[in-house]
Amino acid sequence: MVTSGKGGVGKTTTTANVGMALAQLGRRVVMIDADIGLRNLDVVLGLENRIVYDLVNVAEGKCPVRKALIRDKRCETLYLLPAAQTRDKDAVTPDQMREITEELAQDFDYVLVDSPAGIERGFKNAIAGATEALVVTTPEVSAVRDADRIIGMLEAAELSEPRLILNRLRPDMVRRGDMMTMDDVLEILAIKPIGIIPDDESIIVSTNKGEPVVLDPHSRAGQAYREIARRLEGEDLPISPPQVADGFMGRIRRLIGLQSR
Amino acid sequence: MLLYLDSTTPFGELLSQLRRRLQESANFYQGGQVRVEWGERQVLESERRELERVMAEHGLVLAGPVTMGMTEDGGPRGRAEASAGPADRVGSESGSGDVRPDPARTLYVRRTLRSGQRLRYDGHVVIMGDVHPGAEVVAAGDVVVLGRLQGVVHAGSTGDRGAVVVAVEFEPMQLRIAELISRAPDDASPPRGPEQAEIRGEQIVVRPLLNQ
Repeated sequence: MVTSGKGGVGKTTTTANVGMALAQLGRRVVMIDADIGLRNLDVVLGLENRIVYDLVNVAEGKCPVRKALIRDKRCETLYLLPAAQTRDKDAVTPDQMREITEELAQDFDYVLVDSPAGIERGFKNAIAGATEALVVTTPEVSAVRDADRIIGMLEAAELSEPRLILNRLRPDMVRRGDMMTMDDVLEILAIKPIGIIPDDESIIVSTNKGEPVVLDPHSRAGQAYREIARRLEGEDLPISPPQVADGFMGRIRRLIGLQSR
Repeated sequence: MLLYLDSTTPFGELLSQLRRRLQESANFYQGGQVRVEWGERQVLESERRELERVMAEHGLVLAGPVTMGMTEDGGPRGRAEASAGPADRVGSESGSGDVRPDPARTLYVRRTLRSGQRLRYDGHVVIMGDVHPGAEVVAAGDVVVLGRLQGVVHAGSTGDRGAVVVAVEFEPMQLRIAELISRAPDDASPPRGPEQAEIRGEQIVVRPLLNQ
């Protein structure tokens, strides 16, 4: 499951991009949008006009789960089980979620559950079928505080080692001392990291267009998401914090070794 | 709903009394959440499960927080569970008054308390780990944190003004001893090493633990 506690830190973007990156590596991936009533995963993927059946229909037995799955228009091994927009999170129970995820796990290599923000029923639904967790946070005190709460609940549910994704890191602010580093965040949360996503304008553009950023070879955020997928697949890629200046002179300076990290 | 268990009644009898009560008002309690005050008793894991089963028979759910007790093997029963109910009242809790708990009545916890987790104990508490901001420790006796204390801590919760709070890194969000409340000064000061907080006169005073 992809969770955070705090809203707006990048769970849905992460689910879409990590899912697509894994599919690009050849894996069979299904993404479940557990944010019933405020669904976004379909929008971020650009698949919203293909929704016929959704998670609630499946839970209520109105259709088999296969019928509700939407295949991505770009990656043939990537599927989406969308949420309902006209219901709310009480429309599905944790037991139903567990059944659905277990059924899907038989046919897919990865079942990614996009958890809603909060710690109430939506979160309880998302965690029901989960065996592992990715915790997303931004380098801000309130987000980290919420992430700590969530990690406590994941530990209580005995989910094996959650992994941390630090999103929207701004190296220029870190350099000025205005923003926390990955190390600062890890010191507080004390879980293993799996990736850092730099703050990147291309995310906003890609979300609006419904084209996940991993499709863009020039996007640094896309690059970071692709690396996370590789780490999930077992590759031992070191996590390096993003560099500051990305302009031409910045690259030259780094090449010559004049600019510190 | 809060369920108080009398500490002197044998557990078997408690269960049958509870069953009778629940049967009499079957529908009233249906679907409710119950928080249990175990009180002074030593609770066995099997007893806790039995209680859960009796309640489940009547559609009741055992919810957190659960007062910490000791299990058969001497370890803490259950973990500090995330609170599902409303916040507890501030101030002294009903208990043994200002009598210091016996030093033998100490709970030793070897983990970090994360935000939203609450540890309550009717005695002294020693935590080998951190207490994150957003976590709470409430003890009738002293609180000793062998790590970073950043959460809310209440020592001497039943009224013992002689209780102390000790931490290696002393940065509590809020500090309470008996009925007095205090918090750190607003200006961030550099780390000062292990410190101890205690009541002197009508104030909570914090001083270095070493080089007294």
